[in-house]
Amino acid sequence: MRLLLIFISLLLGSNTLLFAKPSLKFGIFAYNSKSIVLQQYQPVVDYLNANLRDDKVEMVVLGREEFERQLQSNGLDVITTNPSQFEIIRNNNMFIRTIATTKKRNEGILTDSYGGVIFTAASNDSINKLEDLKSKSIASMDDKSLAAYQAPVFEFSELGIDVTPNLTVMKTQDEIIDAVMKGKSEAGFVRTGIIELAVAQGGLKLDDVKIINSQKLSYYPYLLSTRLYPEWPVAILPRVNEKLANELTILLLGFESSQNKSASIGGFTLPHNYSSVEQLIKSLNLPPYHLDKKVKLKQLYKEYQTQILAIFFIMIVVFIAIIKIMRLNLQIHSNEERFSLAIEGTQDGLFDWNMIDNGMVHSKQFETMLGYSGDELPSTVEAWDGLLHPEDRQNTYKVVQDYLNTRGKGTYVNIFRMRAKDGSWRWIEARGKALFDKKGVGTRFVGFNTDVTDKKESALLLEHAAKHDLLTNLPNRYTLAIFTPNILANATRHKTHVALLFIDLDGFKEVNDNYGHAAGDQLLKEVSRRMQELTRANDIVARMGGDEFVMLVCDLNDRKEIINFVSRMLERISNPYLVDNHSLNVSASVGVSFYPQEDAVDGDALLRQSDKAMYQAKINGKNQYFLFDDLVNK
Amino acid sequence: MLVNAIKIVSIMFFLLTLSGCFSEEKSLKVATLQWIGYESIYQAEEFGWLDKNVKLVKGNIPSDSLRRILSGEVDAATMTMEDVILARAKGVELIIVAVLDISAGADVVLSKKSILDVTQLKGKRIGSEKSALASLILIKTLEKAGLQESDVTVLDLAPPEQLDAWKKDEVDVVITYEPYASKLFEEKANYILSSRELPEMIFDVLAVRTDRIEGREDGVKKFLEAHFKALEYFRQHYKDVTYRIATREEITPEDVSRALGGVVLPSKSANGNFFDEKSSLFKAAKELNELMFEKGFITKKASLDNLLNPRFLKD
Repeated sequence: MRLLLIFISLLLGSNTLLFAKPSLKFGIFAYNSKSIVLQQYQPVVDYLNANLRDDKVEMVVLGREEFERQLQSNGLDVITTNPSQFEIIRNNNMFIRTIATTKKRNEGILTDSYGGVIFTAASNDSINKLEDLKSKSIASMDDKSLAAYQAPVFEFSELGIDVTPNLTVMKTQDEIIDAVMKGKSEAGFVRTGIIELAVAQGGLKLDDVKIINSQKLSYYPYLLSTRLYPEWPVAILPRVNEKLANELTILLLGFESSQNKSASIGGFTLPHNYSSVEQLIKSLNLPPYHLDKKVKLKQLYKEYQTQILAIFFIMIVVFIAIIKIMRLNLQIHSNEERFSLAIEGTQDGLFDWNMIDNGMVHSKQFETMLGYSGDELPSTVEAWDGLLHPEDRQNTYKVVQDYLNTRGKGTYVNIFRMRAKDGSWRWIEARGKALFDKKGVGTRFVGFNTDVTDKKESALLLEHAAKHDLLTNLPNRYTLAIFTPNILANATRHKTHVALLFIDLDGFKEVNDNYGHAAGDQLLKEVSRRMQELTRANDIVARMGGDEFVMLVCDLNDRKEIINFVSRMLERISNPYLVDNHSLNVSASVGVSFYPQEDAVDGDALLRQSDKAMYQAKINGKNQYFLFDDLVNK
Repeated sequence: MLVNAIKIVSIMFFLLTLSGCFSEEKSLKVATLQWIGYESIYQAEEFGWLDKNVKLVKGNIPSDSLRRILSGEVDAATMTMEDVILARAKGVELIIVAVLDISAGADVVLSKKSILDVTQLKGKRIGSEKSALASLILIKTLEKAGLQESDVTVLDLAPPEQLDAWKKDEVDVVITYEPYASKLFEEKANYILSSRELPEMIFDVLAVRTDRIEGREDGVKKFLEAHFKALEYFRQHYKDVTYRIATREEITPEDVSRALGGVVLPSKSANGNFFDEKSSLFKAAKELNELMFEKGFITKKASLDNLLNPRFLKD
């Protein structure tokens, strides 16, 4: 029984031992050497242990990796660390709750804000402002340190300076001071309060350091180079029950340090808003927000979808438009090239008549066609008109007007003469097409001018040859037949007389036989010339063939006038001819008929009558004339 | 051909940018003074956020700003609604483009220890700035006490001069505002009335002379952008800002916190609510116009046509 009791009591005793509450683990980040941190937080832990009703607190000072490992394995209950690391922790532990913000005390002044100090050795004359540090070596903590990395880097980034390549990462803040003072680094980043602490511990003299970008805030108790951020948060992990969490919070807020050492924990206050820290980390693109940029793009797209799509669409439209314009340009260019090649190749002159302002542009070929250099002629219709042959003007404009009256349905072909620079006349053939407005009024007339002088002249020659005797160049029988009706009609109208003389040479055959055809031809030419000399402007001399000629003598007021005329002619013809140094003699037999007559007569009748009369003159002895009237009267 | 495309594109861009190049921006001179509601502007200046075209002309008391905008020395001013009405009544047309702060306790009436509430004001010496705002607070204070202006002696004392007079016991009561109020609290002043009791009456605004707006639109816009950027900084860096304001105004961070508690600083979006004719801002303008005319601060009522112009608040 006694043994049993002992056993039970042992069991109970061991029970109390077995079920003794484990102490709360208070994890503190070792921002500086562990001994300093321990020393700083010991009064807080002592205070808590003295005041907690049922629980005990055990302080654990941990480096970054250890700290994170312990958190992951749920080894910590309460933590305090710098706000930047806390942002990472908060991101991994959704239910962690911030219960207070730390207050620090220096020389009797409490503050719940801290920042970075950028410093150099006082003896360093080359560094006086932030810009001077552009390419200088700087000792700092790693990028998860708010005060000894992020806050100072941000001040540089505000000036557009990326100072991160200059940084050498140290393990503790004391090492940073050491590196700068020993000249291993030209400058250093530390947390506010660290320099004051080093001075208090006697390792450093305040006069030995120079603060860069000093903020000189009246009521802030530490040296400062950056903006201020809320001091370290204290947070509780979710597995600490609410009752204990409340008790801890109340105790912490009630803590007031009796110490007045540099950088000592002065107390705790209601948790601050840490959004400034979040902003700082985001602006430096560091963990845990370093992946946010992609999300931001997505959000941007979500928010401005229509605008982005619209801009994208406009860009595509502009792009397509540019491509099209380029192609069109290319096409126009090649068309133009082809066109000008074609124009140059044809030697034809292009004309472009703006019928609205009456401007007229001619291609270079048109000018060279007329012997000009290519840019001498003004671009006006007047200039063109000035070169137009006066005889052709009326007809040329008529052809243009006739074409325009067809409103483009007809074809425009016009031939006219233009004066070349050397004063000669060139025959120009114009072909073209006009554009018309809705009312059918011509607006623009475009076409080609071709120099057809050679063609035109040979055509004219042919025409002349058809109408004239080749040897004497006198009108031939055919031409005579065309002109005669006009002459007769004129005589009727003006009540004058016309005599038709049929002339046949006497003794011409002998000349041909004795002196050859060449001499005969020469003679005929001379005879023609003499006959032409006798005639007046409106009279006509035609060669009917061989040695036969016909002469129409117009504007006779009296038929007797012809007697004198014929007598003179016979005399002229019978005068000797000098051909190849030979003096030749011929004469002529002439038959005469008159117009008008009592009966209506035409040219053919007159010709027949005078032929008969001529025959009578031959019979009568040659070298004389005979009037058909006398033949009739016989 | 590629050259041609580059030409086309560059001409397009040229035309796009041309519109911005043609209008030459004139500099914008803004009169302002140290007041908790305008600290955002000082902060923006300190951080280099003000456009180089914006020039601050700093005065000591509100009447400095009023004088400068009336004379045309400045184009715009941070000023009280009362001064805007005063200027308009004098024929200088000002428009309100933004509300910078609403006093909700920052304007205070402080008294010597022997005076505990308004009922004891009869026969006392009251130090007050000769400004419409101070006059209004005096009127409201006397109304509350059931007194006439003839029942008290009003001394012309601007807030910067009050501390001295207070110490020499030349004044019993002062109408003042931060940071001068905090200094008087240190001298054991009693607080007997604050603008918290005059809800939505005391607006501080950015006012611009209508005849100076042309060519300065961009300056006004950039000024307001800097102001709102500073306000956002205030929101996120509250602690940093209290230290900075404390340094500038030479008061403690705790005093800054108290002073900031005495004003409402409306954000850009909150500003949107003030710009229609049913808003508390316009109501206050109408009420003040009546009151100031009634009490003889203005000889004729100001025209309130086109008083509010929210276009500079838009993006």
